[in-house]
Amino acid sequence: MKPYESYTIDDFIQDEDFRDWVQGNSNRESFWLSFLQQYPEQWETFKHAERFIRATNVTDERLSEAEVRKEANRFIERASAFIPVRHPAKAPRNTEQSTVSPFDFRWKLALATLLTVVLGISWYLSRPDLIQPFPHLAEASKKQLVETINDTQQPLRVVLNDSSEVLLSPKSRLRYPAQFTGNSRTVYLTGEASFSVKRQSQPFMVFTGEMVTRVLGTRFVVRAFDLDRNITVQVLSGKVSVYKAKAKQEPVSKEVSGLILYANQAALFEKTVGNLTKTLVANPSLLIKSEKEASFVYDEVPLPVILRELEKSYGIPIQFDEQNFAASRITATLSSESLYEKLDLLCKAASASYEITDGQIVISPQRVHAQK
Amino acid sequence: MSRRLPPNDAQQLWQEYRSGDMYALAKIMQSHYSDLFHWGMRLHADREFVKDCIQEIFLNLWKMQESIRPVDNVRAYLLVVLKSRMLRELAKKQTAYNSSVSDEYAFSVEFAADVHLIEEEHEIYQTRKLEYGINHLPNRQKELIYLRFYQNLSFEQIADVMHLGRQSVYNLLQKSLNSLRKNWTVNGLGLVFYFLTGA
Repeated sequence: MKPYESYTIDDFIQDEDFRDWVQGNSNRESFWLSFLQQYPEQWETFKHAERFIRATNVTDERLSEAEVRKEANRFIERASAFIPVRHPAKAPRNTEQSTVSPFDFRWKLALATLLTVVLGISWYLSRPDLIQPFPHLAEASKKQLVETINDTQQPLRVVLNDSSEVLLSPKSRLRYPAQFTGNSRTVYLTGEASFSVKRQSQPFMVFTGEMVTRVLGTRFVVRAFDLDRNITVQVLSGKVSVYKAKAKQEPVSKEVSGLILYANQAALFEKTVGNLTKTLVANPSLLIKSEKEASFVYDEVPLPVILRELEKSYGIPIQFDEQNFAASRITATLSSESLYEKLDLLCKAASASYEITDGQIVISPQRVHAQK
Repeated sequence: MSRRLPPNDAQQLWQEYRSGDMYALAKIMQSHYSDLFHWGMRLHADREFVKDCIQEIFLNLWKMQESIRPVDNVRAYLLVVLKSRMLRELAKKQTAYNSSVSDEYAFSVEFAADVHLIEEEHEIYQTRKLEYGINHLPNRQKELIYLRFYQNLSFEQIADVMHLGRQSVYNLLQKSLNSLRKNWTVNGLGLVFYFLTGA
């Protein structure tokens, strides 16, 4: 409780709550209404402060919601034409060449964006259906591409001609040939989509700007919004390979610019740096297995045994030094916890910690703090 | 006055904007627009000019997102940026015929007491008197009162917006309040206005 009995005018007018109340925005209406009954000797001060707040009122400018919205849209339109300038963090002094080329690259990006905008506008003006050939895609010039844009609020299901399924997230766009021909199935994604690919001998490839995701038959999610900093691929089941589009069109070449991902693993492509790294999905799920599933109920079970079981159940490699943890026996029921919760609990019990490196879980003993 | 975006939400949006989300920045613009516009109109009452300046500062924020740091208070920061942008633009306009850009920029606010809920004649009279006094304060003091009580900024934030030290802001407000009290007693028809008596 504030010392209201000794409040000065100054205290009142600087009291945000009091101000809110005078201006009619208070959620303590009854408190302030009964204030003078509680502190009758404060009447004079209270009244002066109240008058002051009223007197400092300024009439609002006439500005309609529609005007504000119009200005916000104008901003979005203009801002879309700019790829924001992003320098690599604390770039060391570089040779001239390396400082010039990213600029060059940005220029091209800006031009490309402009081109896309122009194409987009002419596309809009010609008022076509959602299905539209995209002649400006060089790689696709021979094939007839169709485009689906999801401008609804819900994910949109798209079935491709090989009966693979795509769940296209809102604000996302997928371009794909009406009929897959040749020796690969290629689609182009902007935004986010989850893929369920039918297994076929022709690889299925998702192009997202500078990154390509290549699979044979599996389920995975690609997120590649223009304005996001990263492109991510999350693998739900099966095996996926991810590589940079620039390096080589053929993933078969043994370039290091690619990654192989298994279930519950994810790839992260940082657009600014062009780095491709392996990590884990946000919430790894249990692999579907035919054999009986692990119950995750443990009674005096050595930690290494539990970790091996987790490794198998989630299909994620777990690295640790067997000897360090052989003596740790765990009694716990972990059936309802997520993988990370399980790891948290196990590590706590065994005084260990874990980290995720290169799509694997690495467990190490915690450094013991000096006793006091 | 519509409800303002809670500072925490603004912070969150600022964070998202800084990590490259254009729509977060658009949302920041939308939710601060009326405050910015009101402030801009106080500095130069030309609707289109103010709107253009607001566009420019947001476009700049977007282009410069890499070098933009986290801010303590998004609204106060935007008010500062808008002010300097407008003063710069106005100086450019003026240099055409007047090369001296003085520190004395115009600021015009007309306080209009909100008396529609007061029934007592005497109360309305008292409030109007006070309103008159405030409207006749020097410009800087009016700006300060406007920032404190209309824009609801803290002393710290006002110091940033007005390019003053925090203590100067505080002193200036005390000065305003004191002179209000003095004015009041001189032309106040013998009424004694106990302003800050308890302080």
